[in-house]
Amino acid sequence: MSVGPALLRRLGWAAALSLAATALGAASLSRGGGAEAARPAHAPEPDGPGPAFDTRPVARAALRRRTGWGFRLALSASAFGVLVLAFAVGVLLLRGVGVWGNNIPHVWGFDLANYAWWIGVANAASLFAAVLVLRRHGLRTAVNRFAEAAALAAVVAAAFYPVLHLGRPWLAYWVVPYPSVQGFWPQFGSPLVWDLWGILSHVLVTSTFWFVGLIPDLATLRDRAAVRGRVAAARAYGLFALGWRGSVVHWHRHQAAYRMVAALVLPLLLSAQTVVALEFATTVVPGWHQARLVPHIVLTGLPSGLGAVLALAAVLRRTLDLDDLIDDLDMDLLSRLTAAAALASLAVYAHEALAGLVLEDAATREATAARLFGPLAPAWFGAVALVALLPQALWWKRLRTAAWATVPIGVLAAAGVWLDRYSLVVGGVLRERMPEARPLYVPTVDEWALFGGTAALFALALLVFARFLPVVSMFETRHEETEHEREEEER
Amino acid sequence: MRHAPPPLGAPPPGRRGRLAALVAEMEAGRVSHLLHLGGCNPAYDAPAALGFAEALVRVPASVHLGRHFDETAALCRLHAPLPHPLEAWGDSLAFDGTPSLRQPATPKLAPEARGEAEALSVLLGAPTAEREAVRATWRGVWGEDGPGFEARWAAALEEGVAGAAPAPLALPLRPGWDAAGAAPAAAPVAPGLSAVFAPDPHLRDGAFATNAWLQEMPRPLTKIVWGNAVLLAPATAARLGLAPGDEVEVSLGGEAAAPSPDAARPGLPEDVRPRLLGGEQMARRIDARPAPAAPAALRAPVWPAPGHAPETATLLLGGGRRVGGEVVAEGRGYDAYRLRPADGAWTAEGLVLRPTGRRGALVTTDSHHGLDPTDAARVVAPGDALPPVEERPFSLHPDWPYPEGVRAWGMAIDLDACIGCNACAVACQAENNVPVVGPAEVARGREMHWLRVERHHHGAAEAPSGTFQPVPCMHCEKAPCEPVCPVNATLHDHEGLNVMVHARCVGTRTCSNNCPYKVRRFNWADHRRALATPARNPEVPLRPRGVMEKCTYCSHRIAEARQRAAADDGAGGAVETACQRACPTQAIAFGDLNDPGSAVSRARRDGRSYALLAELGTRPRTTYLARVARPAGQGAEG
Repeated sequence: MSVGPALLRRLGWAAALSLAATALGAASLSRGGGAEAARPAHAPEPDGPGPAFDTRPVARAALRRRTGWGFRLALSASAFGVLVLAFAVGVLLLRGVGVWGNNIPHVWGFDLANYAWWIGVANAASLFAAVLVLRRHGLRTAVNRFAEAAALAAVVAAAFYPVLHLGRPWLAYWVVPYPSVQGFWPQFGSPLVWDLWGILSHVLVTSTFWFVGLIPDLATLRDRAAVRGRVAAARAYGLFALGWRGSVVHWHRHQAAYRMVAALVLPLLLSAQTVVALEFATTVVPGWHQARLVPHIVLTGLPSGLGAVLALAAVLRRTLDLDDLIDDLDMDLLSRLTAAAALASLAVYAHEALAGLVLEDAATREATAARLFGPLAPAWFGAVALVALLPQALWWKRLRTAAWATVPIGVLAAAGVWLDRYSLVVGGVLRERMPEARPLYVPTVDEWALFGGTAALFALALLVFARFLPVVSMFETRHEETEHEREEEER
Repeated sequence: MRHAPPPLGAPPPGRRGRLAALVAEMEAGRVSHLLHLGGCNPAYDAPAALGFAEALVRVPASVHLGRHFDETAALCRLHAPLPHPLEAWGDSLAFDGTPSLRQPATPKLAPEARGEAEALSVLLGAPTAEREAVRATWRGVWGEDGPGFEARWAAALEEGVAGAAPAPLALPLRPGWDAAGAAPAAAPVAPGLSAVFAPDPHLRDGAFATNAWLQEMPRPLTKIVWGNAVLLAPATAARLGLAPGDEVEVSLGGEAAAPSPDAARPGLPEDVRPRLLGGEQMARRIDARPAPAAPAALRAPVWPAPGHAPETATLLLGGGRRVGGEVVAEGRGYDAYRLRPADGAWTAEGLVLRPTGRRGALVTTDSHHGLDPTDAARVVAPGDALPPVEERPFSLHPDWPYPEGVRAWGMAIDLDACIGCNACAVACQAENNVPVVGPAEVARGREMHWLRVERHHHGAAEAPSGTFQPVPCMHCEKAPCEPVCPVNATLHDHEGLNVMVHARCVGTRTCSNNCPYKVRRFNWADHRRALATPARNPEVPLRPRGVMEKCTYCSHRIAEARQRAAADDGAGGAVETACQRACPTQAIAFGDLNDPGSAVSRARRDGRSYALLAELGTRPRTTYLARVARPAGQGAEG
């Protein structure tokens, strides 16, 4: 059997359910929690042939002693990339941001473009996971765990840039308000100070969200490791399981906490990405000084996060044999969400062209024309093609479940959003108020190394996650299973 | 306007001929001793066709006295360092002929160095100290001795001048001097272009090529730094299919058949090498100079300059120095002396430009070669006033509260007086310890000048009119840089200055993003070691790597004036910024806007006064006075 029929019904509900229905659902959730508690998580489970639908492959993946050569290769490659990151950071600290290609007026380049891009990936991924949890969507069992993990890894990758791009990174703490002998406070009117709080809350909430959702599964891993006699692993998992025993009280509190943190994720969509947009929109640079920048950054951020989750889901279900848990319907829904986000982005780009080239004042029109048709035209048009147009292919049903289509489309959508951020940060200052044309910003090897290094860190974090933690939420899968059985009985 | 007679009198006739005669004597072996005084450098700046350098190595005893070890010094048997004029006693004539006495401003940095007067007296067999030599001169000039001379000497030293300028000349204009139709007869048409040899605007004949400030300062019209280019009219460049920066092989067609003097350049005689000052390495380097392919040709990038005469190429002298240290290292432009006719003529016919298909190594801070469609530099017709600009009525940022009785510093720059000479920008660089970053960094857009002189072209590319516009920090009342700094590193002070606190800056560079005038500069590298020389201004701190910096209105001078005013019980306290003091046309006024009588207040009330990008509501403290000219299409301007 599969989760298919249940999922289909849930899809129908999801379309119809209102917030009130969400509140109503709390009762069934607590019943579900009770049902799970009836089969305590720490009770040993037989490793033999179980029901057709079980979570053992997930736990086995986390508890296996040996890994395949493909995994080891990927791990080595990303570990090497992290070494490159360490080298790039070392060079940067020793020699300063002069090793980058920045100049006046291109004082920002890869630093802010990559930062905005990583934040976009993180935001869209965690927003996606939070919506799934809050609406108690069937899909959440399949993808929200690694959507959360991807979000957390992306935030960590993003967090490098606001510090490292400083001329004197070791003084970054001056942005924090603390009583100092200098008698100075940060300038609270500066969007860069808002940015500190934006990314700080993003890291805190995203990691809490991910960790709270992980607790029951950590307990399961603890118990299964103990059954297999792996004491060290059991202790390690047990430390982070925070003494979870699966009592009704535990489940009750856990669900309350989990959904509260999920609700906290929602404002992050408005905070983190909006702050990134405001860093540009509050300047007098004509190419940036636009209110439309906030919805632009938020909406075009969605395809990058969803595209990354889509590609990850397609890869994970293949490599970890999770075809049952992340099934075709999950992929179908994820693909359609990506396509819908791309459609919204298309509207955003159309508005950008219309407003920037026709409706705005002369300085902005010139700046937009320079950005769209100047030396960085490929970045803008590439972004439109990859973010807004290419994912439209996912409206074709046949492509939605085909890994050969979803993986490249997802990755290219994320790459397209990167082009968008590059076009904004670098192309946005091609034409400014003074008639000054200056050397174009060209990223140096150090900048590529830093960017590649953060990507490797992202990959390494996800690989380590896939190695030691359940990539699919086991307790929610079981919960869904029991609900499904109950429905069968009712029928 | 005052017409002064030439301080040194008219140049003696036939000087060039005398140099040619000297070279002939040297080649014939009839010159036994050759003395180069005052840092002259004929091995570089004599036309290569004259063959001075080749003749010099045949002179048995050649001596070079100069402040730099240059091409001539390298070929002489002996080079002796000359102290800087500020290290030595001497006397000089100002531009209008006012005589002045010069006292050493510092002990000699190299105690062994001897001034020219002392060195000459040694050679003449009667060694005299410089001070005594100067005193002897003025004894003769004044015709006094004893106590009378001593009193007058002391008074002249105290005043700095030793007499008055000669009476100005009353020069009537020749009637009909500006009559039209007196165009010179058309020159005979020669194949190729006409070549004009012109001194480099900053390096002159090459004597200033060792000055890194001048090398890195964008040339007034082309904005080229650290090199030079062959200047062409845009139409000529278009006809030849040359884009800005394309490399061409330049040759004078008429000399194509003649054997190249460069190709025939002999190596140094073996017996000379060990005696060369600078050692074997320098000798190798001179020998290693690539002999150019015959016919004499040189490679240079081209640069179309709006307003340049058509079918003419300007070859700038002063580039392509070969000896003289890091600043004049290889690759700093081309050496036009290699093409200059042997008689030192300023023009030549039959210039041929052959594209090599390569791009020249050319660094410029100006990548917009066309005309500026902007109204950054305003022009008004004589007698007209600019229309008033509507102030932005609303701002989220409250006005700054200023205490009673403080001064409100402001600057007014008269575009009608500015001649674009860059003296202000170099003065600013010297005053404020602004680093020189080198051609590679300038090419990346990282020059550090706090004050840049923009040049704007108006009108047709064939005959444009131009306006120069110095752009320092505007010290905006509503400075966009201030609210975006996360750490309060750029602030408004009680006198309205926009101050940059280097120690507080963490280097987010967001202030530069938000500066619409783009006057902020970032320390991409640590320049402190290069700047920590005795030449730096001790009043201005050196900035570390990773912080922003910008024009301060010479705040150290303001602080000094404040202290002076406090000590003088309120009297005094006038402030002159470095750029203002250096400006030869007094285009820059600086002072207190709260004082209605100050020059800057008067400039603000002028009908030509306007603020740059006033529509943004930044309310700059630096304002401009528009250039006065007839509108385009109504004839040429003055």
